[in-house]
Amino acid sequence: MQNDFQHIFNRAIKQDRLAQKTIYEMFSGKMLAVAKSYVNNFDDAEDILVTAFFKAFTKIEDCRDSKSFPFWLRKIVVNDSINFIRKSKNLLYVEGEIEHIGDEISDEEMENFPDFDLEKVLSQMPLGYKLVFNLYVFEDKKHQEIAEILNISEGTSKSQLNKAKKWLVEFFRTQENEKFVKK
Amino acid sequence: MNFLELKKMKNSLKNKLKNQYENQSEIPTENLWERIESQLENSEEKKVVVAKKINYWKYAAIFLMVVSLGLVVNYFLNQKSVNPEFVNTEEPNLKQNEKSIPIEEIENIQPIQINNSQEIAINKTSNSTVNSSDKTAVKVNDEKTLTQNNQKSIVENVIKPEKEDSPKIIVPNIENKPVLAQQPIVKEKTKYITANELLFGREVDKSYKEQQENDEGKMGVNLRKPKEVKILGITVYSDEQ
Repeated sequence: MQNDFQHIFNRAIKQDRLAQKTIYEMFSGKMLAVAKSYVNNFDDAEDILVTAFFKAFTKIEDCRDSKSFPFWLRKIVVNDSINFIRKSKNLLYVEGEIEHIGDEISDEEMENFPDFDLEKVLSQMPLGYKLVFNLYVFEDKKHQEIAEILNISEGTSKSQLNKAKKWLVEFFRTQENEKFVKK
Repeated sequence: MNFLELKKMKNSLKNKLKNQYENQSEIPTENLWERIESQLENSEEKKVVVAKKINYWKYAAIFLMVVSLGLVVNYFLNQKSVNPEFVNTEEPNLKQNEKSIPIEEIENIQPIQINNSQEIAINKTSNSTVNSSDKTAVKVNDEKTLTQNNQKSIVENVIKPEKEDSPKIIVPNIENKPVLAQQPIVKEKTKYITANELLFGREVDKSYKEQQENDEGKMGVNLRKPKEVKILGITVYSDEQ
């Protein structure tokens, strides 16, 4: 499997259209979901995907090897998604150092979490928290890296993540209540 | 212990979120690949155009390099060949001077022979032979009548060597004459002084000497006196007169 992908990757470097299409078919589904988790809109996510794949195929020589290609491609998609949000939506982070004091959500609150639909979570989470939350949880970025990517302070990144967690706890709580009401 | 358990719980939430996130997949619309493909094709067309342009620039650059190199080499070669020219031009000068007399002779002979042949063609009477190649002999024979055979023999004897020699001598003449003419002219200009300049120079000298004679007692003595005082440390007055 790895050898197969290596072969496809090598052909894609030589701008083989068929190899490029194969790579597109392998990764487009997941990358579309990643982009959508940021921009909350299917059409915008597809636009991002077009530019991201175009970049990936034209600059494929910059990618070290076939093993790192999926991460490299994902990085492009995430970066393009963040740039898209920056351009289309006026994001303004307020320096939230005060929030930083109550950094950790109370352990009790995190103890019981129900089953949840991630798509619903991500689609309902406010955009301000979501960028930090996505980068921290799904892209395994540290606060320092997030601060650099979003051009904010590290404290703001931490406070935004804390807000996201609080929002998540609140989300679970309301979900439970809705279930209880339905029952 | 409680803390570790809580951390595990948190991690499990994070893991659950992550697992769900990584397993997410969306089905893109059918024409999405076509959009990407059309973009790729457009960029490749542009790349080809850019590559062609770059090639033209490269060729132009190479052409300019070759031309400039050629000019530089040519310049240096010309510089080097300047010295040999001076040497070569002097040697032919001597040869020309030596052979200058025969050239004049040949030039004189040619018209005579033509005249001879014309006259001979009209007369055609006697069979006197002329074997000498001397121009004087030919001139003498002008008045006499000659046969056509004799004419030829004369013509062959006289003209052939002339024709063989004449181009050899004349060609270097044409080439070297301008060189000869230029170089000595420059030297003459630098060497010789015109009569006016010479006279003017003499007048200046005369007037200068007169001035010196007049001023010696005033200027010269006054200037030299303090110098001697400084060197010796004592006031000593020198009388040059």
